[in-house]
Amino acid sequence: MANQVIENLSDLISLLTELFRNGRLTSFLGYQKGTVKFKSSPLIASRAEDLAALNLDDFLHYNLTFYLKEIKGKVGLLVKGCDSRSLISLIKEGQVQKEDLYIIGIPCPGQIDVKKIAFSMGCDPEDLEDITRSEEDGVIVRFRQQVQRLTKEQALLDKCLACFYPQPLLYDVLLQGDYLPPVPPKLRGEDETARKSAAEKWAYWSAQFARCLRCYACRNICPACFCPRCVVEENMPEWISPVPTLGDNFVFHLMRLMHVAGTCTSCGECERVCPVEIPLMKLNEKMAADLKELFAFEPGVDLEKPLPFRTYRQEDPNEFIK
Amino acid sequence: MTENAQKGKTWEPRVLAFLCRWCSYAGADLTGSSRLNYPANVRILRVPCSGRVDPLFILKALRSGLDGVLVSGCHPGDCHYTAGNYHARRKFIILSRLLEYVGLDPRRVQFSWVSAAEGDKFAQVVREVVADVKELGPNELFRIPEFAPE
Amino acid sequence: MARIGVFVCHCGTNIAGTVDVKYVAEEVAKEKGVLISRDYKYMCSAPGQNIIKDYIRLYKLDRVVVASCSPLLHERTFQNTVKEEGLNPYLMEMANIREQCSWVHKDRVEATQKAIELIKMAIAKVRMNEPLYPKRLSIKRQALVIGGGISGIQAALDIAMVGHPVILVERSPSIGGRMAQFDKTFPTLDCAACILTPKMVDVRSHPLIRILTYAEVESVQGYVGNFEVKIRQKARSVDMSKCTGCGECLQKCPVRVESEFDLGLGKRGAIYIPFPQAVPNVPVIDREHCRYFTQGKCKVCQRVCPGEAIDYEQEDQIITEKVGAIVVATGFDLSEPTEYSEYGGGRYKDVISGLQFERMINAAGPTEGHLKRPSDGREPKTIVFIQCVGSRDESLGRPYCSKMCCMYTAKHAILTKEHNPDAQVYVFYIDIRAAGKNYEEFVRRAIEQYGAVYLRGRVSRILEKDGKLIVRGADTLVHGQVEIEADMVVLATALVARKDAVHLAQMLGIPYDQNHFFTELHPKLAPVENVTSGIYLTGACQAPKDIPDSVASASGASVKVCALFATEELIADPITAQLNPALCSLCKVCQEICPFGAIKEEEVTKPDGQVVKQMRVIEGVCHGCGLCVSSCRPGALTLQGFTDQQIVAEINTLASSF
Repeated sequence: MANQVIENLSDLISLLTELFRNGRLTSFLGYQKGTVKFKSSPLIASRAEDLAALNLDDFLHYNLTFYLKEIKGKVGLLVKGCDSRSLISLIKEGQVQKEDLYIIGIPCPGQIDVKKIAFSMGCDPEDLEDITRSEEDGVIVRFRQQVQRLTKEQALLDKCLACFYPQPLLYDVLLQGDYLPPVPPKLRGEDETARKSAAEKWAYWSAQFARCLRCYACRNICPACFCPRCVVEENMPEWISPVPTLGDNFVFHLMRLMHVAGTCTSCGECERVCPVEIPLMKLNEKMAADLKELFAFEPGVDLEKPLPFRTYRQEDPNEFIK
Repeated sequence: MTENAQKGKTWEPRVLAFLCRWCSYAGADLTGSSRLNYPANVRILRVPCSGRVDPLFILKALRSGLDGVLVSGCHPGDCHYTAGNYHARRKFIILSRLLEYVGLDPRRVQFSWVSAAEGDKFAQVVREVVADVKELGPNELFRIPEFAPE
Repeated sequence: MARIGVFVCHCGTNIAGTVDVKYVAEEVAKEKGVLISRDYKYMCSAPGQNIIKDYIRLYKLDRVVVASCSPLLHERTFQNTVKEEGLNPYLMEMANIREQCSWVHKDRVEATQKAIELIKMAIAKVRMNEPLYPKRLSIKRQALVIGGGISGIQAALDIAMVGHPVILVERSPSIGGRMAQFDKTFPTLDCAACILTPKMVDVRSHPLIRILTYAEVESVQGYVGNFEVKIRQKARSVDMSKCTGCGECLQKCPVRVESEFDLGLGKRGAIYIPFPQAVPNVPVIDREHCRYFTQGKCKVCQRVCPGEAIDYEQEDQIITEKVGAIVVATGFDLSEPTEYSEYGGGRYKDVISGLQFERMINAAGPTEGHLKRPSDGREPKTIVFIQCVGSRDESLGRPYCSKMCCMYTAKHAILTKEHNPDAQVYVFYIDIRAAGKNYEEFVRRAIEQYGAVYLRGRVSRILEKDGKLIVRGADTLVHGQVEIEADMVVLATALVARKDAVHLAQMLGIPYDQNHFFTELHPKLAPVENVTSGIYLTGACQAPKDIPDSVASASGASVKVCALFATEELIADPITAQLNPALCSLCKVCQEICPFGAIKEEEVTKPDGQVVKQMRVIEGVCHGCGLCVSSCRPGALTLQGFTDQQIVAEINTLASSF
């Protein structure tokens, strides 16, 4: 990978402009100011002129790799550490060729979770007036003329507290900055739901899946979901009905998990966009933990390692089979 | 269910068994040729290879109200198609753990390797699976009542 | 709208004794699309089959369900029945209500209910059945034999005798294999070279056999009847068309290196032929040791060659050939004598392996047939032979028996005694496996006629002392220990698969077992065939084998090849995968997962001129396992005969039959 480091945003825009001009890029995926407070929007630039809107702030939630399913050609894109894993997954799934990409790694001090802050302060996100990072650790929130200091744990996305890959694993250039995890990363540990009895687990997950609208936002935003026609839309045979019944909701989520296993990198987007707040990351992390334990496989990390369901070892776990 | 309820019968588990044509299905035939007995709760669905069994079939079977699922194939190394059961094995353990995580007792979905020569083993596997599923009771979980024929 | 006919068999009382077949026929008649449903005593009998045919004709049935015994038994029968009446044979499904119902359940009510549900499942499936048409494939009637040992030679001769061209590929500079290294063969004590070389000459002179020695198979693509193989003809540095075999170069080459053929007991030049009767009788230059290639000097061979055959510029060549069948005859290696450090193999010069002994006692070998201790060249008077060195040992991961060692050890004992009647010969054994024709008698001769002393027990240690080898072992038949001062110890090492057996297996797409021997189609009933059609196994690469069995298996494999070539066209089983490119995301999981390499990516030109990549199933290679189908997430792949729709229809029908 190149040792080139880009000093600042305007240098980046100059570089990208040049790449557009000389035909190295036909599209660019970045971030721009959102129309809503505390939210950045994805920026899809198809000409150099569009780059003027490029803006980097503390709300770069979107995993831009997901657009690579649609946007083909020579694509430049910004990736945070976590996004780069999705990129590696997509390359391994044959969905994108590395040669077609121009990957710009960006430093990420952790992205701010507005819903989490608002919830802890007992208000709506719209009531928050200002959120800024403080020079010391943490985040300063202004709310109804008051100033509140929150720790990183209280302010950042949950997935940022388990950031093991702050520096992109794949890139052509890096934007200047510290590529360190925001806090010492800790896996969420054994999910407490896993220790409950079967009946309790079922009650818990029934309660979660009962809320599912089958809006498919989780599937739509997922970079690992790139099938031209999703199994849920197959009607010959029909696997699940379109109606969001509890039973079919269970089957949908379990089906999706089995299909993205090995490609899902726990980027967290599915959980972030779920309108009814189903804790999908619990399921993703359970899958990731099992793949690691059973097959020594970590998704989106090693371009050479075969995807877990494309290979096997004679010594694979066998005791569960009579 | 209505008929049985009318007849006052006790509930009997209904287990669907996916058997691979080359080993387990032939093994089940041997059970028959040997006139061994096993509970009548199991219905066999023939597939060419255990690798043909998509985890979605298992989910579909549970969702449609069947009480238990058995998938049986050739012993590792003996697959007629050389590697089908190896790949299936990986998917099955992941599915099994996932089902357990969301609260389904793993005894509802079981797996076995039964060769064409193991007629007695097949009978034993069926007995064990049916006994397990019987103990767990009817599959009320996936079969949410809204579409159950009443 | 399907027009389904259901035929429920009594099978005498086998089914009807437990299942109420009349009631079953009545109940399943209520299923959607079932026009007629009837029972009969013996569906597979001629009258029974005629009933099916009559009803197909009368009711214009387009789907048939036969509820009777196992499809593994009679699927073909009933497929032929419906075919005779003009219905595509794949529009018939069976419900197994005998082996998997009436024979395993006692309760009449339960068994009847189950039979009804099983038939309903079959009806649901058959509704979704599509007519399938077997593909016809052409056959290239040329065979490839990989390996020029005795089994490869026999296979080549047998196939060529029927009139088909054969390419025989051998990795070493000459054909002949292991047998060329032997002195005499058991149980007849025929001279190995004397019985082998005529066959080698036959191969050389046969117009239909093309020998490629010093060559290796590099890649194999395609499928039965249509393999494309790439063979690397390594550069001999000698022009075969000019070499007269005079041997001048061999005499004059100044280099001396260890000869592989003599297993380190003898030397050869950098330009060499492995043994005098080599076929072809054309030397090769070992470029790693040749002074010209390593230092730019010498070139003596070129100077003395009367035919100007030396060609230092020669390069490897890739030869591409199309063949219809491949016979694998790659033979075996032997395990290292160093495996048991307590025996001193590799440490003590006079502890040698069985094959080294063979080279030594061979009159054409490095010691001209004289037994000489490698340490000081003196004749050994007391020789100890140890059997099972490396075989039958779980701790080495080698639990199997190498089959030949008991016999060749007895042979070595006899040859030693013939050479020197005063020699003392001891054989340590665990068992004697002499099961072949005249084999037991042969071993008895070694003991009774030639006086070899057979000790039943294992050797615990061998020590060197004052130029002698002290062999300590057990003699279990007298419950005692023995200690023998030997001049030489010969270890019967294990027969193992070639080091690159796995590489070859993967190249060919054939399975192998935990010992890396290639797996046969069926251990009892198909020992020379393979799961992969068109590839046949012969000789020791499949399992330890002696010469008669190797030759027999070669002839067996040959007849399979000839049978293949005798068919006009290959009828491919139509239970194959089909791919719909519109649903495919090109993730290539199918290509990676297919055990047979039946799915390939190719470039296709669309009607609008655009060139796109698409995955395609090569039907001739597809075995119909369905692994790709269950791995395809968007459902672009289906397996004809076992589609998702069919299986889900069976599941749904079962679930709703409460």
